[in-house]
Amino acid sequence: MRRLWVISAVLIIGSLLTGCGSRIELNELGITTATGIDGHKGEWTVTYQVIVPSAMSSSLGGSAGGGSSQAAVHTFSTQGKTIRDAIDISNLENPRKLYFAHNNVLVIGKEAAEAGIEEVIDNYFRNPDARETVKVLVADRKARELLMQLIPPEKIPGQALSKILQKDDQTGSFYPSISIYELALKLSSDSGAAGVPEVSIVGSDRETLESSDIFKKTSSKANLKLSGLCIFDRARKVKTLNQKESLGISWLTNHVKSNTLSFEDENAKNAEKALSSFRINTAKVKVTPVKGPLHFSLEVKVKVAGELVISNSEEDPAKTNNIKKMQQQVEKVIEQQIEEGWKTVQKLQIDLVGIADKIHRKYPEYWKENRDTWPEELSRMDINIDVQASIKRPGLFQKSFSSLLKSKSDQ
Amino acid sequence: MHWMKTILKPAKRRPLKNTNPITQTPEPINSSLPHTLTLLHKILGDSPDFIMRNFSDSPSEPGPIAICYIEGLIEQNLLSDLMEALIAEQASKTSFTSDVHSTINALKQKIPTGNIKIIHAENQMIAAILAGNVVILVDGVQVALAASIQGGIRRAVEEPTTQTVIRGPKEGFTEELSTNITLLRRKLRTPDLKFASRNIGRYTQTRVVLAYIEGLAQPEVIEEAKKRLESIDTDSILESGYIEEFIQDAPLSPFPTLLNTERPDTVAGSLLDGQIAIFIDGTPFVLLAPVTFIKFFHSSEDYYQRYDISSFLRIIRLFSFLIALLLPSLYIAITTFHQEMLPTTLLITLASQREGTPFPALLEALIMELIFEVIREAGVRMPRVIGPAISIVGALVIGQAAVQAGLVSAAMVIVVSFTAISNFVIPSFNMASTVRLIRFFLMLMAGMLGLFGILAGLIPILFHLVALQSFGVRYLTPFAPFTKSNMKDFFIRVPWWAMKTRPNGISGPNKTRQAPHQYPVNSAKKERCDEPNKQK
Repeated sequence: MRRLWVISAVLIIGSLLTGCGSRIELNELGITTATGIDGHKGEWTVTYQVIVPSAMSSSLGGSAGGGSSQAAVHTFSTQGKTIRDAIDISNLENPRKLYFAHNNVLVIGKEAAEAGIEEVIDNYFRNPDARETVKVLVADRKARELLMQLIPPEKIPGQALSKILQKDDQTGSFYPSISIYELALKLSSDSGAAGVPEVSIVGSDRETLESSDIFKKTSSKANLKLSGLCIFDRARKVKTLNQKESLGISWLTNHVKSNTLSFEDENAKNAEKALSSFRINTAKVKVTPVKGPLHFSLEVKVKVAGELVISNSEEDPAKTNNIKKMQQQVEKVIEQQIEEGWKTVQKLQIDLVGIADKIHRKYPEYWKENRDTWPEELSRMDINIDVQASIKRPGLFQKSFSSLLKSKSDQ
Repeated sequence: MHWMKTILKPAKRRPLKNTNPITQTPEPINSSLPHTLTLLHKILGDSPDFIMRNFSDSPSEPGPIAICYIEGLIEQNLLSDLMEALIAEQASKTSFTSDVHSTINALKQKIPTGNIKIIHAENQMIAAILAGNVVILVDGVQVALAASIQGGIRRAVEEPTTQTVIRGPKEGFTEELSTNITLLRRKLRTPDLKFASRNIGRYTQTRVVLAYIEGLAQPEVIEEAKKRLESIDTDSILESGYIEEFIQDAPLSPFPTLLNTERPDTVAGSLLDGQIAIFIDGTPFVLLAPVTFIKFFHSSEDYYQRYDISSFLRIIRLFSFLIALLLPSLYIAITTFHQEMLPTTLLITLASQREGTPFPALLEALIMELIFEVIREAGVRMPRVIGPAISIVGALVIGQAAVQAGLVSAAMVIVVSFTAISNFVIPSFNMASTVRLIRFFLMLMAGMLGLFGILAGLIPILFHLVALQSFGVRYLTPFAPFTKSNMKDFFIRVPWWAMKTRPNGISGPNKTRQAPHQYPVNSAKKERCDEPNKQK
């Protein structure tokens, strides 16, 4: 009987003594929405964009729209020899526990990207509190400067950046977004290269974006923008591609989900260009390296389907023949876009498309012998592009309005 | 649990000292009428409702016939009929002493009452008077007659207040045992409906009736129930709760192993499933056994409504059971230990609400739950007239003012109120109270160890449920042990034409409920194109 009392007392006291040990209340968390990394090995500056929850609350306290008077985020930086060193001393200036599980974006500063990002990736893979699914961006300047900017009308810039990336993936597909683990996979693969979207501040007077007064204005002189694709070769940034080149890479890596492209009407009688637009709804790209007698060639098969969204052409899209002509023109445009990307790949001799992995899998013997000469081999490769476009819908209108007016005036 | 058992279990059964005249050893009735009347007066005392009436011509000399009864327990109209007959009988005869048997039989013929018994012993006579009989005594005769003309003030059959339905019978049991049995009889017109009656309680002498359908109920369960009822030796049974605590399988378990209902249709349905019912005089609540866990989430209405909506409602009830059990603890666990499980926007919203609240989430939840329990208890105990006052105070105090004063976060109010509402969805009040208690335990566990704590709390509960039995039937049947044929009346209720058998494990030898192949066939159905042809 006595023993039972003792055992139950030990159990009860034991469970009470756990004392909610690892408990942390929501108002003790510094929810970090974006992290910036600047510097180089041995001297890192980590920037945190921490949400200020009280600025986020809706009009509970009675003051409607309290958000505009107070910035929803607070940005600060710490320095350390390693990234974790820097994070650990953040408590010297910040009362809350920094919480990275809800981090939306990781912004790598220009200098850090050029110096190498091995340690950043190691930090993300080693520590459970940092999620590997966080999206990566490269800044055109110091990451800290970028994280100080607000992105109206969104309250939280970190979230806004990740939303911009998401929207680009869905509608434009110019700069395919990449997460930490995808980046690590690509950098450690045979190709050893990856493209990371670059974000930059365009326009003048960027200080205005650092104050929440910007929410009171209808426009801002400066704004944040995805401006290019940073090419990493083995953890180091080598070049930034422009929009055209990046779109070609998107095609070759099957990242295009939707895009709007314009094509010219070849049969236009007038001297002025008659541009029409085609919106891609579904796109499928298959890239296969084929071993030729001398060197490899790349078979690219593209299947796109979409609809006509703007027409300046004189042709009537209700007729099958005309639709076929338009499809051919679309195919031509896509082919040009892909070639643009391919030219860049060959010029840089960096395998952004991931052909090396495909060859390694398909011809392991060949790969074993020729892995060292791969970059040269890449630049010697041929490309065969086969695009099949189909215009599924011409839209609600038949002939273009301009041709309609023309036929009226002819009568 | 072991130490609790040792505390709660008395070491030895001490027999009660018997001072009750009814249960003492019987003594024959004295043939002298004045002697018997004196005895009755001595035992029953000067009670204002105890009436002894002697039919006498002259005040000095007592007449040969006397009647004794308790005023409130009998029907006045029948009494006057009875008295008329007795007075006529006394006037026609001068002497009753000649032959005992012929006298009693002659008297029995004259009395206009159906239920009449001959009583030989004194204690039986007293019991009969207290049970609402009119006892007729004849001078010089060693037996008495007990005419049952029970009546008096009783509540009418009304709609049950605790278990309401939208579609279904609106009658509920009353406090009167005979009314309750009549209500059941009207639903089950079969000679197989059997009753076993017993009086329990030395002072209350409460009639407890075991009802079952022979052939449908398991004989072992009936025997077990009888045995358990017989072993009760107490001075009073005032409600079915007394019986429930004396006969339930796991007295220390928070989970009820007997179902109570005040609906005759529920009792009838349960008897047809092979369960047994225990009626207790003086309460409208009838106990049902053996029960399984899922039975507490079934409403009698499930069987009257369409099967699809019934099945949906059953799933809703189980869902709200889980909500009522787990929502506060999940909220505590996730917001204080596992913030990464929340979507970012939700986390920010919750964090902004918690900004400036003084208490940790666990304390906040405990306070709010306790406040709610207090308001709820007040609502039950309070006089009906001031009922609206409590809802205003409750809604304002814990709803709005607490949030505006910054004492609790708005999300916590939502959590607590949704939990409370979910708790009311559980049809059985017993089970709902169990959930209320376990909820606090799980909240403490969640506050200490997060989701691991909830799991560490739920696993022992599950162990306990799996081990629990009700009259030899596993509590989690048909889930564990898995019984496929019982699945038709579990989460879902199949249509009646598919309800072919009674629940396995609960019902006795007769398992078949109805004839097979009763899928409705519409022989009157016509093809649409036929009709114009016929008109031609």
